[in-house]
Amino acid sequence: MRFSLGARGFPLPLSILLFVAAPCFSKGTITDVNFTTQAVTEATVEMAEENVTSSSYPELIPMEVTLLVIETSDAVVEKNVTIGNPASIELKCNFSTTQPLQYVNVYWTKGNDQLNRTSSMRVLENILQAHIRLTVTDKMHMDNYSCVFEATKERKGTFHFKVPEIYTKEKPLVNYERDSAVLNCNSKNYVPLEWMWYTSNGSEKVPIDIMMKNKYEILPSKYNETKLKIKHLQATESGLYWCHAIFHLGESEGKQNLKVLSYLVPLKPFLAVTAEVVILVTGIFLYELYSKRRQTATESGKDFEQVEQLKSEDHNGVDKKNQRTRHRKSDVNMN
Amino acid sequence: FHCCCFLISILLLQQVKMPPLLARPPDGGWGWVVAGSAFVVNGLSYGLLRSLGLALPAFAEYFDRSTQDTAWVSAIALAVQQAASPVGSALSTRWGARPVVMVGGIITSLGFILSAFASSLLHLYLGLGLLAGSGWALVFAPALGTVSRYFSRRRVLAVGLALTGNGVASLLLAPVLQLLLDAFGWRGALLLLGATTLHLTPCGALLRPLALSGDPTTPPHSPLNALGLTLFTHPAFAVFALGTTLVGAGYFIPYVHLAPHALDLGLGGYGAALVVAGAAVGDAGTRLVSGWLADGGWIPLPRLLAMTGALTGLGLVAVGLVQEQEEEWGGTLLAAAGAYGMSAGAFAPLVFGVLPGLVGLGSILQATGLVMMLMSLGGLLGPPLSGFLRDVTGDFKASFLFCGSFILSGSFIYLMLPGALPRCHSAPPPPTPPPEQGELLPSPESTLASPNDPHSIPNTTC
Repeated sequence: MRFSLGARGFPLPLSILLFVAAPCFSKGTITDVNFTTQAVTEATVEMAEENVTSSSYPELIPMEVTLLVIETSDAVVEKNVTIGNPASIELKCNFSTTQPLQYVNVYWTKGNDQLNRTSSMRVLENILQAHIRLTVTDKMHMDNYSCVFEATKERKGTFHFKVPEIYTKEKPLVNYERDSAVLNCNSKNYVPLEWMWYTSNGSEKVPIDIMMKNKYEILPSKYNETKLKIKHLQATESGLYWCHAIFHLGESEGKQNLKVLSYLVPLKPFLAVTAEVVILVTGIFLYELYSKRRQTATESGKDFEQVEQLKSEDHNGVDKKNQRTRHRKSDVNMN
Repeated sequence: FHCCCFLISILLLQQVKMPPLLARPPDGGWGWVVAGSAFVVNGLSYGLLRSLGLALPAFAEYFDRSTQDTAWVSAIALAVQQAASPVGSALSTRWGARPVVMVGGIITSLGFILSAFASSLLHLYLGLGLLAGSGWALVFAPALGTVSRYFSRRRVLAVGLALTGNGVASLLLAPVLQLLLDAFGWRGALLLLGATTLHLTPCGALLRPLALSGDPTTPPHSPLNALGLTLFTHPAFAVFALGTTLVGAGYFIPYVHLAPHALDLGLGGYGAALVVAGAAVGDAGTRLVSGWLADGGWIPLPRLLAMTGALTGLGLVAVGLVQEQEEEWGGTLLAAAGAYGMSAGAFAPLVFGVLPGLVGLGSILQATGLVMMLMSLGGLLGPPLSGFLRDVTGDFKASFLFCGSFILSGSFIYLMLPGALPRCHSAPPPPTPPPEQGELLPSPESTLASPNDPHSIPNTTC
C-alpha cells in the first residue's frame, strides 16, 4: 500500500490532503467535477492521486523543506531536493544564533545570483526562520537555492533541486546467445512522462527502434519503471544500454551493461570439473583395491613368517596366528 | 543340564554360521575419512540449498515473476529432500549407503544441469525442486548414518564435525555462487553448480561398507520394514519422534524469519545480516563443542538433548522479546541471536547422536531418515504458521514466542527418554558412566529393546 502511494510522487499525508481539497480546486473545470464525484463515491485515495499526476498543472504539488544553519558551526549545510513534477515548494532555513536577531541580515540566492525577493521571517525563541515559496514549473527553475545569513560571520544553507534519479542494476546482465534478456530501469517514487531506450553504437548513443517487433519489446510494467526485452541475442549486442526518463522538469538516465556469452564459455570449466570428478572416483576405487591387496599381501607375508616363527616358538605363534586370521576374515566380509 | 547343552550348541552353531564381524565400530581410522565425506555431503546439500537464495532474484528478473514465486524453488527442494529422506535410508539399508549416495550425487547434478536450460519457472521447480531435491534426499541421511556406524565413543563429535559442513559451506559457497552469477549469469552458474554437486559421487565412493555384529542378517524386503516404520512401536523412539516433531515445528523458523525480524526492529540491511551471521557462527561453533561434551560421557545424551533443546527454545523466546533497537547494529538482538545460534548448534548433532542409544546401530540408517522426515513435518508447518502470526499481529514477536514454546515443549517430552532425568531409585546407576558403557552397545538385544528393558521405560515417575 505504502509503495503504491509513494510511487505517485508524494508522501501519503499530502495526497490525502489533496484528496480532501480536490472538490474546492475543481469547481472551474467540468471534467474535474465529473472525476471528483467518482473519486468521492469510490473513496479510493489512488483515484485522487491519478487525477493529480495525469492532469496538467494548475495543481502544484505542495512541498516543504527545512534546513538548520548554526552560527557557531562552519560545516556545509545542504540538502538534495528531488522534484518529479511541478511543485510549489516552501524552503525554510532555521538559523540558530546568540546574536540579537535584529542584527542578522538574510537574503536568498539562485545559483550565483541573488534573488530580489524579500524573505519572510519568523522568530522562534533564539531561532530565526527565513522562508520563501517557489513555484517550480520549468527546467529553468531547477537550480541550487541558498539562504544566506549575515551576522558576525556569514553562514548559508543550500538546497540542490534534482530531477529524480534512475535506478538500474549495477552489475552487468549476463545472458547467452539466442536467448533473450530483459533490461530494467525504475525511477522509484517518481513517474516520468516518457521512457526512451538507447544503445551504444561504438561511441555514440542510438535510439532503439521499438518497431522491430521480432527484436525488441517493451514489456508491460508499472509507470515508474520500464522493461526492454531483447530477443535472439547475439554476441555483438553486448555493451551499454541507456534508459532515458523525461520528467516535467528535466531528464534523467540510467545505464545497464549487457554481456552476451556463448554457451561454450561455461561449458569448458564444466567439462574440466566433470573430468576431475571422474578421476577422483576412479582414484578412490583404485586406492581401495590397492590398499586391500597390500593388506592381504602383507598379511600372507606375515603368515609365512609366522609359520617360520611357529616352528621355533610354539605357544606365542599360535596366538598371533589366530589374531591374524580373524583380521583377514573380517576383510573378506567387508568386500 | 540338557537345556544348557542345547544353548551351548546353538551358540557354537551360530558362531560357525555367522561371518566374523567387527564387534564394535572402529572409532577412527577410515571413519574420519567417512566423517570428512559426510562433511562435504552436508555442505553440498544443506549449505548449497541455503546459498541458493542468492540466485532467486536472477530467476525473478529473467522470468519476470515475483520473488514469492521464485522462493518456491528452494521451498520445494527443501520439502522434497526432507520428506524423501526415509526413502534414501530404505534404499541404503537394502543396497548399502555407497551406491545410493553415488547415484544421489548424479541425480542432484542432473537436476542442476537440466535447470540451466530452463525456459520457464516450472522447469526450475521440476529441475531444482524435484530432481535435485530427491538427489539430496538420497545423499544426506545415508552419509550421516554411515558416520554413526563408524563411531561409538566419539560418535557425537564425528556427527558434529559432519554437520559443521552446512555452516562452513554456506559461508564458502555464498560468495562463490555470487561470483558465478556475476561471471556466467544464472544459466552458467547452475551448470557449474551441476559440476560442483557431482562431487557428491566421490563422497559416496568414500563410504566403505562396514559390517557390524548386530546388523540384521538379511536386508529387509517389505517396504514397511525398509522404511523402518516398525521403529515407532519402540517406546523410546516413539517418545523421541513426538519430541522431535514438536521441536521441528519451531526449529526452522529463525532460518526464514530472523532477518525480517531484525529489519522490523529497525536494523539496517547490514545490521540484519550481522545478526543472521552471528546466529550462524554460533551455530557452527558449538556443533563441535557439543560433540566433544557428549562423547565425554559426563552427561547422558538424552539429558543433554533435553537441556540444549530447552536452551534453544529460551534463546528464541529472548529473540522474540527484544525491543525496538536504538543503535544501528542491534547489540541486544545480536546477543540473543548468538545465544540462540549456539544452543541450536549444540542441539543439532545430539538429535542424530542420541539415535544409536535408542534404536541400536542396525537400524541407524532408517532412524536417521525418519528423524529428518519428522523434523520436516514440523518444518513445513512452522514457517507458514509463523508468517501467518506476523500478518495477524503485525510483528514477529508472537512468531518467535510461538516457535520458542514449541521447542520448549518438545524438550519437555525428551525428558521422558531413558536417562534424561536423574533417577530417584534407591540404587542409582553410576552418575558418570565411562564412555564405553555410556550408551547401549550394538548387540542384537539392544536393537529390539523389549518393554522389559529398564532403559526403554519412560522414566516419568521422577
